[in-house]
Amino acid sequence: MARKFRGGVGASAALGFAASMVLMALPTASAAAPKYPTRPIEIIVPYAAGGGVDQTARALAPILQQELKVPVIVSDIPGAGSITGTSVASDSVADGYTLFFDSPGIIDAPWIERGVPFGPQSFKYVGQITYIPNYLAVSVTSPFKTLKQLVAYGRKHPNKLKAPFTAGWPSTDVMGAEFAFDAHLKFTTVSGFTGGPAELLSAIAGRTSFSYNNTGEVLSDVRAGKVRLLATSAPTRSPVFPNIPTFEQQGFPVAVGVWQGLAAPAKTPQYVMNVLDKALAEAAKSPELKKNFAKIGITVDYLNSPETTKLIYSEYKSDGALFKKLGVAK
Amino acid sequence: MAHLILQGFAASLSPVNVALMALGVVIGIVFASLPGLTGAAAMTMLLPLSYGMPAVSAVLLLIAIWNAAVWAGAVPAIVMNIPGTSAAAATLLDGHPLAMKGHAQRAIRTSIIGAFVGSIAAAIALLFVAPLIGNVVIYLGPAEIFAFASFGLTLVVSITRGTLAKSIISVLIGLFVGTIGFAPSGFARFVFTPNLLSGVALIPALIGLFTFPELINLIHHRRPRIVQVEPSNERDLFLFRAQDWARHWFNFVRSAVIGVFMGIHPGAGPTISSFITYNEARRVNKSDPPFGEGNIDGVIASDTGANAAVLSGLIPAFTLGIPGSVDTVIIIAALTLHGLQPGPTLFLQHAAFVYTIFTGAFVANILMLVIGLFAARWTAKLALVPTRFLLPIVTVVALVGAFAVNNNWFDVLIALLAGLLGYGLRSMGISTVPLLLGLILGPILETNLYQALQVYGSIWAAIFTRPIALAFLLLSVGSLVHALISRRHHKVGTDVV
Amino acid sequence: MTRLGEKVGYAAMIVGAAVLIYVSRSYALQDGAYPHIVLALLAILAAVALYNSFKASQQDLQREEAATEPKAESGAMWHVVIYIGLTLLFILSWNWIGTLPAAFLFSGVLVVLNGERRIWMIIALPVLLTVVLYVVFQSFLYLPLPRGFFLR
Repeated sequence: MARKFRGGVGASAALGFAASMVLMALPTASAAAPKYPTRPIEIIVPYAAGGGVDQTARALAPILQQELKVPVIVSDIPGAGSITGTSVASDSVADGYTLFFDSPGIIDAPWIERGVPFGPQSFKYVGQITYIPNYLAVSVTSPFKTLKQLVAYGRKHPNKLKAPFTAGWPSTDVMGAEFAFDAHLKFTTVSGFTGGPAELLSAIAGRTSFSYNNTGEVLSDVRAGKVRLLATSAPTRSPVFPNIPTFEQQGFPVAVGVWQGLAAPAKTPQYVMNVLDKALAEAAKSPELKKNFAKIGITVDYLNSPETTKLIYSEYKSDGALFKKLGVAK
Repeated sequence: MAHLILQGFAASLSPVNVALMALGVVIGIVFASLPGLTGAAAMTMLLPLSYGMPAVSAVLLLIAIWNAAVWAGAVPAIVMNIPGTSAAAATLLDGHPLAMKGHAQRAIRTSIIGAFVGSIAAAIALLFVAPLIGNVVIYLGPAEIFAFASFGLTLVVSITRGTLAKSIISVLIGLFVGTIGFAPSGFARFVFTPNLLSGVALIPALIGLFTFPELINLIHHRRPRIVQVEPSNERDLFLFRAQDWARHWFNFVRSAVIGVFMGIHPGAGPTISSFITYNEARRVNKSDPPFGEGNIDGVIASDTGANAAVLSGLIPAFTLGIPGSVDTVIIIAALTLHGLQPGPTLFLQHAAFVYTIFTGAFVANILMLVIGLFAARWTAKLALVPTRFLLPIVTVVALVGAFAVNNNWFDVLIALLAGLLGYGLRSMGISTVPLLLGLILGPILETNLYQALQVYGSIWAAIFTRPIALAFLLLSVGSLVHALISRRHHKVGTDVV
Repeated sequence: MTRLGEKVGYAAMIVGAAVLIYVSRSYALQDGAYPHIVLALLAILAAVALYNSFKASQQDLQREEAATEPKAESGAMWHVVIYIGLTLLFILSWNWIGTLPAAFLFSGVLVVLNGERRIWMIIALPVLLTVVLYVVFQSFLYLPLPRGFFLR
């Protein structure tokens, strides 16, 4: 034991020595804000390569690189919904060289899963860069032509409609739950889906009554005339489908979409945040970003740091309230 | 259509695309030949780099890697008893015994030729029936997939050697590990750390399960290298002579056809396909040596079956946007990254793109055959690397490979734990191949049963209103009974895979 | 493996299955039934195998030992334990000194422990391995390998 203890002291002494060497090597002028950035910046995406969030981050990275004049590298750390990557990011050194690409996963997981070591307070938000609306979709062979018909049928026949569910509460399913709650509908839940495309396929085949999807997932099938959209969860109609009314316009206050943006660990110093704020604001104006985003079917919806922070905290509260009402909060 | 196909070949044969596919084949072979590095990891890491390429080149590069990696996983399976990809787990059953007898090169050559035949069958299916089949796949729902997965599970009884109880113990452990993480209802089961929420990652588990027991065996028995026998010096001409084809052609064809169907079926994929084709070959083959002791037909069946299910997996991916495996997820991602949405309109709006990919599949296959045959000579020599070099290299590369799948340190720990479990089981005479099958099929089985119950109301409604599901369930009962009877008739050895 | 090891293995399966069923006893039917059936079957089969293992006669034992691989030299088991211990240490050290330095040290130690005595080999293998890992994974593919706390 004593030995171990001595080892510990030795290690920390060695560390202290190393640290002082590093400090001596640094320029002593600490009055002015240090120069940032001077080396490559890593953006952690807590989802798999090729997923929606990863695609946005990769479309943004080259533009940020032009603004910041250092390489910007996207690293995917998927696993456990988005908990693994988010934990790594919230725990990383707050020096501005490890950033995080945030999406609703960070505010939903803390409500639902046990042992989640982060919350919205674990990050400082540079800003939102895109907002992807969700939709309620039915097969073209479905008898429901409008949301009104679906609600009327659902109220008359409780548990007759079959709703899809994907484990881990993706924002599409949060939208579905919010809608069911606001419209006082009872569905039979068919769970075990692997995500939006599987939900959509099941609706097309008529095994479930409808599905919850985002823009990219429904685009091809809507154009091929296989799928009809009944409502969108965006605050306003989407430019991609201008004739699809919002939930709000049809009397249900459902506004659950996927916002994505840049964040940094909570302890990141202000001078770093200032540089990043400016870089993201400039990137958002770039026509090249608009082109990159259009290619993957999303739009540039920039919000600055205070706006984004406000939005994230208010959604954190409202989602928490929903999960408590549904009885799924931990 | 003929016009589109010709146009497709013209585009896929451009020097840039051919060079990229050749590069992809080499990457696939290198990654899958090293235990621990997988094709999926190579594809994940290269996906971001493909962002700057045209969509066609990016997808051709990825399918070349994928197809070659599924084959090349057979190389370490044969040489070291460590499958480089899960699809090669069936290959090792006969491939490794062949290598232990000094026939590693023959087994590797057979596997590459089998993979080529299977891949060509898949490419033909892609080219001619993809749009038709896409519409049929929509109607394969949870009941059908459940019934199909049950059929897959019954294979455990027949493919593995050793006592039946031990195989079942192994498969049960696999089924249990498969329940960790989100249950179909969304409830988190056996999640002792949030790292386990989405379950035990398959590839790190596979890496550990097969790599460590083999390495530990080398240390335990102080073997200077894996294969003790010097490879025979006489020139091995297997499959370079017409009489070999006269004897084995039907095995190639049967495995290729079954494999293509498996690839199209959602919820199957190369691994299950190779087990099924292996089992079919075993069922009809009575030649010597018996399956499991180095019968070349086992290698033919498993590798033809695995690769036949690779590119045919692009059919549901392209027509419906439904990924059948990690690899197809990445290919779908490459499409969407370039602004192409998989789904019914892909064939209408981007026909030139689709046919370039489909014809490119043929080119990639030919490149794989040429490069693979060339590589077979020296990859066989891997078995002769001395333990003192093999051990550090394979351990480090396997663990880095386990990390590379999800960039997650926890997966590295999973690989080591899986390795200790695998070593423990193997020293009790329990094969880990059924465990892998259980781990892959368990979640498919449970999720689809659960979903079928919710959709159709009861198990009976699910089965008796769905004729395809009923047929598969009857088939699994039949195959189980048949396997049990033939087990009683043949004395089964106690060897461990 | 001796019969004792086999018995311990089966006993561990029974205990493991029982503990897992116990910790999950409060799961709802839809979530718990399937894993419970799997675990219960596992425990039953392991119990049967354990019973058979006790019942097996000495004769069986000898026959089986003759059939399996040649018995390892004494002391080899220690090598296995050391290898597993070093591997665990290697994995744990990723977050301390970083993957690449850890890989350098670990592969060097393993080469020596496996009987390599030529000094140039002892240096060349770890250097080559580390350089390849660095070039391929870190600088070309941007794999975010842990860098350890003092290199962050």
